Amino acid sequence: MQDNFTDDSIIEQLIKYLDDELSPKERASTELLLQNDHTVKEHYDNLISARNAIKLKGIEQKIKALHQHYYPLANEAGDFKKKTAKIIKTGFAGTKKMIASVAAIFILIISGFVVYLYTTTSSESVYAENFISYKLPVLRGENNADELDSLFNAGNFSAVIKLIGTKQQLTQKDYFLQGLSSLQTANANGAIISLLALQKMNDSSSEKSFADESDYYLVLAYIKSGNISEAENMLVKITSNPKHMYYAKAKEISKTALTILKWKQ
Amino acid sequence: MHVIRDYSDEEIITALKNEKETDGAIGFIYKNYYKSLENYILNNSGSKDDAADLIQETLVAFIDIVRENKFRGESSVKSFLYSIIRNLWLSEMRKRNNAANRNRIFEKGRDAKEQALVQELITKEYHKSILNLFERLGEKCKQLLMLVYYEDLSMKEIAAKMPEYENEQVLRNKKYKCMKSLEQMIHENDRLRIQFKNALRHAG
Repeated sequence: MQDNFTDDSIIEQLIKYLDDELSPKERASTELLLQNDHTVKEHYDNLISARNAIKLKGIEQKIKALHQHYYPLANEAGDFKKKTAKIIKTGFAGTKKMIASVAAIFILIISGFVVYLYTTTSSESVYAENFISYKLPVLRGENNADELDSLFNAGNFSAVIKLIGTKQQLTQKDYFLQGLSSLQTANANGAIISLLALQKMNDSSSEKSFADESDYYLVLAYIKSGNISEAENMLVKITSNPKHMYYAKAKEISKTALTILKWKQ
Repeated sequence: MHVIRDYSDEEIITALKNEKETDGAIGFIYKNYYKSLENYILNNSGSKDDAADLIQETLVAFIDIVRENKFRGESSVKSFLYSIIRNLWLSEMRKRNNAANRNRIFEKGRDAKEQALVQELITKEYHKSILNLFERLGEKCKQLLMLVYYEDLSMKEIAAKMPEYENEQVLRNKKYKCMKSLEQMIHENDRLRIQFKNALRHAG
């Protein structure tokens, strides 16, 4: 039998077969040769081993280089199982944790705001925020304007109170001006008494005067005196009537502020 | 500072199959598994240098197995690396204890999975011994064969890296010549092949 092993062309054919450089026809004949000649098969196995050994050498060189590069990392912490478990575990829990963090921050902000409101809210501040000064109308052509009106419009509230004090019988207007002047002179309780007297007079009279005004200024007087529950009751009366002259103003009074004032009490 | 991202087992395998992505995966393995692999060696009478050598061998074997699509993923990457290093170290210890034996002695695997791994490791040992023959080739042969079989470049790309060769056909002919030389050396080294077959039989 011809010695195929010394036939370089067979080895070259096997190399080409290994590297997929043969035509389909050549491949088929090589495969037939490999099937039928175990010595040729052995040579082919040697070529496969040679190729795999070369690949291995390349990997060895790469790992050697990477070992120099990554060896410092090896001293860092690391059982990855723990870390992996943590990461996998927080894949969903991470979202929950984020939501919890956001909620915590939100609560913190709200709490801070509430604390701020609590510390800065007082009867005086709520009163001042919602007080509107009242001006009596001055009719043209009247030369001798009522003295009381003049004193009131001039802001001489003490003089108004003094003058009303000299009267034997007070009118609804007197009670109103007395009430407002008391408010302006920091006498909230006096204002409440005057304004309630006005309302009592209105109830028993067919002619109502300063009715809506008395409601609103009573709210302010109650707030100033710290009687928040009564203030709230009066506010309900005003805000349940959209046609009330002070409906819009009453709506502006902060319920939160009143609640804080009640807490403080 | 090294910034290494985390990899799942699946991502490690995918990265190792791609030459360009291998570095990151190896970095991850160093960061997360090196210590426990090293500890195995240290706890079994080995030194830090032994561990460094064995871990590198382990990674070489692992990459080779992955690229040959022989890693089935039945165990985790960490467990598999541990299996490799355990087998390599045990065989190394047997070799050191048996002065007459120049080669590692691999024992039969504990189960079918490990038995398959042992067979792979024995084959790698055989390939390593072939590399001793490879080193006898000329520098141009070694360079050319590395470019063809490890870097998997086309003849056109290799021609650009080895301009001393006139054209692609000349390079191709050179390749055939180098591979023939290497195969000839393997063929003539019966001893290597017999040792390889014996090792397979012993462990099998």
